[in-house]
Formats: sequence, C-alpha cells, structure tokens
Amino acid sequence: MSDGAPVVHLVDDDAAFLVALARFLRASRLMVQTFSSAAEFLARVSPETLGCVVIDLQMPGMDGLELQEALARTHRAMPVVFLTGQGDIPASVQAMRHGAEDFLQKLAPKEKLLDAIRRALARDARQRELKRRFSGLTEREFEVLAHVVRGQLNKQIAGDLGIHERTVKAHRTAITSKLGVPSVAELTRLTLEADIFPASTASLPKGQ
Amino acid sequence: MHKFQLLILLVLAAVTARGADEVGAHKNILVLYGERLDLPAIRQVEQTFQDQFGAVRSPAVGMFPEYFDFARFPADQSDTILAPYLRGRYAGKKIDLVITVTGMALDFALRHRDELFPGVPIVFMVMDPKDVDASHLPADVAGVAVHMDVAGTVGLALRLQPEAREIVVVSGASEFDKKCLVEVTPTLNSFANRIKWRAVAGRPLAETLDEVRHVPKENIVLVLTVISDGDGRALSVPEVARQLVPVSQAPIYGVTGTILGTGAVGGALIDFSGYARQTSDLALKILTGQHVDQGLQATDTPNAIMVDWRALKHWQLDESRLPAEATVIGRTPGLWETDRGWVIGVMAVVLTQLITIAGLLVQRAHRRRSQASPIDREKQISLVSQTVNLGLWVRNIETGEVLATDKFRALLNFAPGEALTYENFLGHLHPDDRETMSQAVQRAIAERTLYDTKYRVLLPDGSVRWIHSMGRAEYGRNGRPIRTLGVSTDITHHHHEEQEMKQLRHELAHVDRVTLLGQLASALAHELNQPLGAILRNAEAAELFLQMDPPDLEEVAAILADIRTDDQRAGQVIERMRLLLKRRDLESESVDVAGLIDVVVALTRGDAVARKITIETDHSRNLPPVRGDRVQFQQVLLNLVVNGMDALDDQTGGSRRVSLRAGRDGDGVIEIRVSDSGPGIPAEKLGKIFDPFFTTKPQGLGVGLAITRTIVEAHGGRIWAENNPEGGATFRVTLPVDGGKGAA
Repeated sequence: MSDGAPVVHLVDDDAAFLVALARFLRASRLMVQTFSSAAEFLARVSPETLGCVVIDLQMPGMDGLELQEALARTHRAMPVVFLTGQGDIPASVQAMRHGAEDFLQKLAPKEKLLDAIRRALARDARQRELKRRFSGLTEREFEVLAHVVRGQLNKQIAGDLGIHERTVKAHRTAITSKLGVPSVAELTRLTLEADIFPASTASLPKGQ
Repeated sequence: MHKFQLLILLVLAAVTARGADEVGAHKNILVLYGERLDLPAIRQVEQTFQDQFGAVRSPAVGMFPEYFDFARFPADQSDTILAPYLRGRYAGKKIDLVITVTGMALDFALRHRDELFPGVPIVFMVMDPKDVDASHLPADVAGVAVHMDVAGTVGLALRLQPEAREIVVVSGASEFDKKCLVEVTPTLNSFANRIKWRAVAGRPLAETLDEVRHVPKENIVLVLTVISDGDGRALSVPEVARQLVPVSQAPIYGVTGTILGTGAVGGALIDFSGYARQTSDLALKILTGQHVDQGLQATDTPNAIMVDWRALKHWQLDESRLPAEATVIGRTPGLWETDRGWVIGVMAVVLTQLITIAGLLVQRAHRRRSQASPIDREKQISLVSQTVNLGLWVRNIETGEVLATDKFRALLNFAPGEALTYENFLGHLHPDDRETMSQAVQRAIAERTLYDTKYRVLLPDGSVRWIHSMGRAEYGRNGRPIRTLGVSTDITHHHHEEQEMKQLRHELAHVDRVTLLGQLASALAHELNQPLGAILRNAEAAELFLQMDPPDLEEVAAILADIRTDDQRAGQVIERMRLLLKRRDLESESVDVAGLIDVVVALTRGDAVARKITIETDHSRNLPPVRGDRVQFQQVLLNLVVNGMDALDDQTGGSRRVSLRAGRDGDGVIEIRVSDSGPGIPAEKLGKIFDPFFTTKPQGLGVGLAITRTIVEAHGGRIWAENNPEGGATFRVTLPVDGGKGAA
C-alpha cells in the first residue's frame, strides 16, 4: 500500500453502495480504496497504511464491530467511521466506546459524512505525528512513562522498576523535554491521544 | 368370497369325487391346544375355527377341543397322564382329523399318534416356523407357522420415535415366552447400530411394572409374549399391556394382534384369526379329499401394521410419521369428520325417508284427486317432515305441478295460497343460483343420479336463506322421467359458521404475515436503506461531476444507470413487503418453486446477516410449478425459515445454518425441506408444534405453524417436522405439482 497520501478505506458487502460512496468521495477529492469484506481489508492493510476506514456495520462473516476489534488487537488503530442501514443504538454505543470517530446512517447528509471522514483523517495524521514524537524515547523512558500516566509517584515508580528515585526524576525530565510538554497532565493527555499503550495497560489515570 | 369358493369346491367334490353319503357324513375334528383357553390368542383361534367350520354344511364338522396349558403343566410331566386320558375319552369316537395349536401340541400329537389315532391326518398351527422339523414330518401332516415380525414393530417404533435410545423388551417366564425371546434376539441385535435393547423377562408382574415405570418417555417398550410371569401366574399379552399402559411414560408396542385395544400403540401384529382361517381351510381340504402339500405351508397372512389412534394421542406421537400402509383404529372424529358426519347423517335420513315419504305424497295426490284423503295420512307426513325439519316435495315433470309440505313452502317463503310450480320455485331463488339449480336437477334426471346442491332464497327484507337440497327422479316403464322428488333443509346457520371460520382463518393468516414482517422489519429497513443510500451518494457524486470543468458526462451517465438499478432494487424490497402486508383475496395460480424460494431468501437475508445465520438453498431451476396462492406459499416458507432462525437463538458457537431444499418427491409431488442446525424439537413436542397457540417462544403468538399447516393442507399438501440425525430439526412440506400445465 502506497505511503504518502492518506486513503479513505471503504468496507461494505453491498457492491452498489460501495461504488456509489467511492464515486462521491473521489468527486470530493479524496483518495479511496474499496473492500467488499472485512477479511479482504484485514489482508491488505498494514500498520504503515495511512488514512481512515469507513465500515458497514452489518456484513456477513465478520461484521463491523468485529473488524474494529480486530484492528485494535493488531495495533493498526486506524480511525473508524461506521455506517449503518438503520439506527442501532446498542451497536453505536459499543462502537463509540471502542473509539470510533463517528457512527452514521447510510442516508446521513453528505456534509456530516464528509465531516466525519475528514475528522478521522486528521486524527490519523495527528496520531502518526505523535507517534513520531514518542519514537524518540528510549525503552526505559517508555517504561517510566507508562507508570507516570497511571498517576504513580516517583517513589512508587522507582520501587516498581527497581531503580533509584533520582534516576526516575531524570527520565521524567528527559521525556518532557523530548516531547515538549509543560506538565504531567498534558503529558498524560498526549500519551492517551497517541494511543501508544495497548488498551489493557493504558487504563485511565485515577482521579481523572 | 373365500367361503363361497370353498362352498363351490365342496359341492363340486360332492358331485364328482365320492358317494354323496360319505362326503356329506359327519366329520370329527380333535383340536389339541397347547395352551389354556383363556389366552386371548387361543380364544381368537378357537372362535375362528367355530366360525369357519360352523359355516360348512357338508361335511358337517364336530369339534372336540382339548386345552393342555403346557406353560404351567410342562409336557414331559403331563404325557403320562394326558395320553391315557385322551385314549379313554375318545375310545368310542371316530376322529377324522387332528388339529394342533402351538408347537408343543404338535410334538405331543406326533409322539402319541400311533397309539391314540393311527393314520389320522394332522393339521398344525405353530407359533414359530422352527417348531416344525420338516424332515421328520409324516406325509399326512401339514400346517402353518405364525410369523412374528419384531423387525416390523421396531421399524414402526423408530419411525414414530426417532429419538429413542433403548428398547425395553417385556417377556414372560414360561418355556414358550423364553423361546420367543431367544428367537427374536438376533432380530433385535440387528438394530444395534441404531438402538440398544434390554429384556425385562421372567420377572414377577409387579417387578416388570416397576421396571417399565422407570423407562424414560423417549424410549420404547415392546411387549413380546407373556403367558406366565416369574411367580408362575397365568397372564397374557393384553392383560400385561393393560397394566403397563397407565404406568409407562414410554409408548408400548407389541407383536401380537391381541395387544390392540389395550391402550398400546400397536405394531406389525400377528393376525391369529388369519392363521386360524388358513389352518381350517387346510383341514377342510383334507376332509374333502383335495390335494394338500405335506409339511409347512406358505402363509398368506401378513403382519399388518396396526396402530391405535388413542395411544398416539396418549403418548403424543405424530400420526403423520406413520407409514402409508399402517391401519389406524379407534380414531375419534375431528372437526372435519364431525362436519362430514353431519352431511352424511342428513343424507342417510333423506335417502330412507325420501322413498317412503315421497310414496306417501304421491298416494296423497292420488287420493286428493279422488276426494279421499284421510286425515291421518297428512298428519303422518307432516309429523315426519317436522321431526326431521325437512321440506319435502314431488314435481310432476309432465304437468309441472308441485306437491310439497308446508315446511317446504315456508323454507322457500311461499305465501299461503301462492301457486307452487317449478317456475315459481326457481323465481324464489337468488338470481345467481337459478341456473345452477336447474342444471343440477337436469343433470340428475339425465344421469339418473342423486343431486345434492345448495342455493339461496331471497327473503323480502333482502337477506338470504341458505337451503341444502337433495333429490332424484323416478322413471316410467319406457325410461322417461315421470317425476322428481326431494328434500330441502335450512342450512343458513351452518353456512354462516362456515363462512365465518373461513374469514377468521383468512384474517389470522394476515395477522400472522404482519407479525412475521414485524419480526423482519428492522432487517428489511436495512435492506431498503442499502439501495436508497447508494442512490443518494450517486446523486451527490453526479452533482459534483457536473460541476467539474469540463463536466464528466460519461461518469454521470454511468451513475444514472446505477441509480435506476438501485431504484428498482428498492422497489422490489417494498413490493415484497407490500404483498405480504396487503389484505387480499386468495388467488389460484401456477407458482414457480424456485422463484418462491428466491423471494423468501431475499426477505430473510437481512435478518440472517444481523443474526449471523447462513441461509443455504439447494434446488433445481427446472422444478415443475405448484398451484395456489403465491403469497400464502411465501408465508409458509417464511414462517418455516423464521422459525428455523429462531431455533438458533440460543445456539452459541457451532454452525448457524438454515437450509432450504426443494425437489421432486416421486411423481406429481414437490417436497420443500427447511432445516436448521439448532437443538432440534423435544420428542414430546413434535406432535404438538402445529397446534394453535402452542409456542416455545416468549414473543411468539403460537399461530405461525398452525397457520402454516392450514395453508399447506388447503393446497392439498402435507407438512410435518422431524429431528435430523446430525442435529437440528427439518420441516418437510409436500405439495402436489400443478396439474393444469402438466410436467413441462
């Protein structure tokens, strides 16, 4: 898959709708690739793929929500916009809780649809930018960061990692200066946004 | 007829073969029964012998029965007593033939033949072909062997109870019982790959009852023979079966005809009377000097599959699973039968009354003419007609004059004094019925048959009265019709009920369709939004392409073509729904089965995807059509597919499949099968699922399958359900091929 320009990936088992939506998005000057099933998409997407994915909620075989989970599991956290034939509140709640950018009906106004797709593309670009920034950190600094965003004090971190409290302090300073953030709060926000820790460990810091 | 032929043979034999005095002479038959008389099977045999020999005049046959009860008094111990007893008893009698019933009686007769009745031919009836040692049989010994069809009964039981896991065989303690059990063991073992079995044999009756009480209801109890129990008590199959039936949760089957009427289901049953008839025929042939093959004769008595309807109900077995050749006894009439009974009842009354009463009427007419009409005659006529609530009439075809009872005049709404002629009569009918009525009468006259028709009488207040009328013509010596006579009765009330029932069924079918669509609604909305969404995005894209400089007209043309296709697609979804929702009259048309399946799959596809169910189809495109109402056929399949999908609700993991298969089932029948991979239907519910308001679903009305059956049967088809060996249930629908166009 080509790097460079971000691509809107469309996954829908309904060929007619897939063609129509692709036409409209291309005419709206977006790069588009179409996939007729979740499996086909998973087979061709890689962590380097840029852009977002628009997924039909109801598909035979792997459905939209399952595709979202599969993407999260494989660290290809591409922003997702869901489309559905008709309103399905429980499904939309689940989708949004798992970080979907939006959940729209197939007959949604084009402005809303384009808006959601553009937001998803922007989020992808921002996440990549953040990841690039975080990639300057050393392995030890990542370990410390993981503890910091969980709200732990230097003393606890030192104890957990078996290092001196002074060393922890030094790592924190290095992290904040490399990332250019002024406060722990901002550091935490940025870390969450960059989505660098798998969902299981990066639980929300207590007290927030 | 058989007896008749026999008589002719006897007469012929009397005329040709010997002197009339010898053949016509008295013949004595000694009948040796190996068991006691109160055994129902023995009683049946004895009764048949009495009937058979009693019907023969020449020779006159005298029977001397002896009952040995070898089950309780073993042969080896009784020999020393029985032989001298018989010798003493029959010393002065001339015995012409000996009949033995059971193998032990034959053995006894052969052992003592030379000392007791030398040279006297023996005809035997044994309960097992192995009881006869053909190689050692003397030349003038012949007979028949009862065939016990355990395989037939087990086959029937497995058909009725495909879920059964074990057969419990009940057998007695006597030597005979033990021998029977040994004989059938290989047959029972031959079912080993389908079902296991165990015997409850030789126990005291109380223990047997206790054992059977604990047999799970899905299993099978098979009563073999019980001449005596473990306590040495004299018993019989019907006696044991009668005690087992109330305590057994599992259906009880048998192999002997004597089990019928005890409440047991039945089986491939031995017809003891049939064998006894064959035995007595053989005896008569020998007595009249006809040729008889020595030894064991081929049997002409089949083990017919007999089933007690009440037992089917008692154990909730599905009658539709019975093989076609099964004879069902003890049926209590259903609604339809009651209805038909009513009609037949009226007809019987009519036919018997018609002749006498019409005769009386004619006499009355003659008397009137001769001014001699006794009051009591008229009274009698009016009494009879009032009792049966019938209007009676006679029409003289030549003069057109009609004589009728007052009841008939009242039925037809004739005013007092209004002239009653055939033309006037037709004038009182509803205009739409006049032609039909007059044609029915003409046809009956021409074809010399009874006409049976319904017509309406127009009443002054504009309402109608429904009349059921039957009649026929009488003919003169030259064959010309002289008069017609008949009976009429008011069936308005009955007719209204019929119409109301029909209307109600129609309404209910509609409610069921609406309910069905309600279940599919959200999936159908999705199905509809798919093409609508495509149209919307295509239209928006077209706008953008037109705004380009230069406009991309080629792309716009492609878009417009796609919009048209999607519009049709959306229209089809709506049309399919509209058709099911519409209140409509029934139509009869030729309906393509493959097309039917396509529509049902289209209607359920969305729901199936949402519920992660795969719908499979397997059918030829070249199936012949069926005839009937297209929407109702769709409703049948829709009900079955939705039902199948509902069966998968609690199924997590494994395959989630509903399959629709259609094919020919022999000539002139189409079979459609709807199978699911769900848990199957509990055996005790298989017989009930088509009952109205029977439902296992919390949201179900319980009318879907009942309506489905009503529709299928109204189209001359059948529907039943069964569990698949590999799991899940299959609903099978058979429908007759549309005969109108033939097999194209």
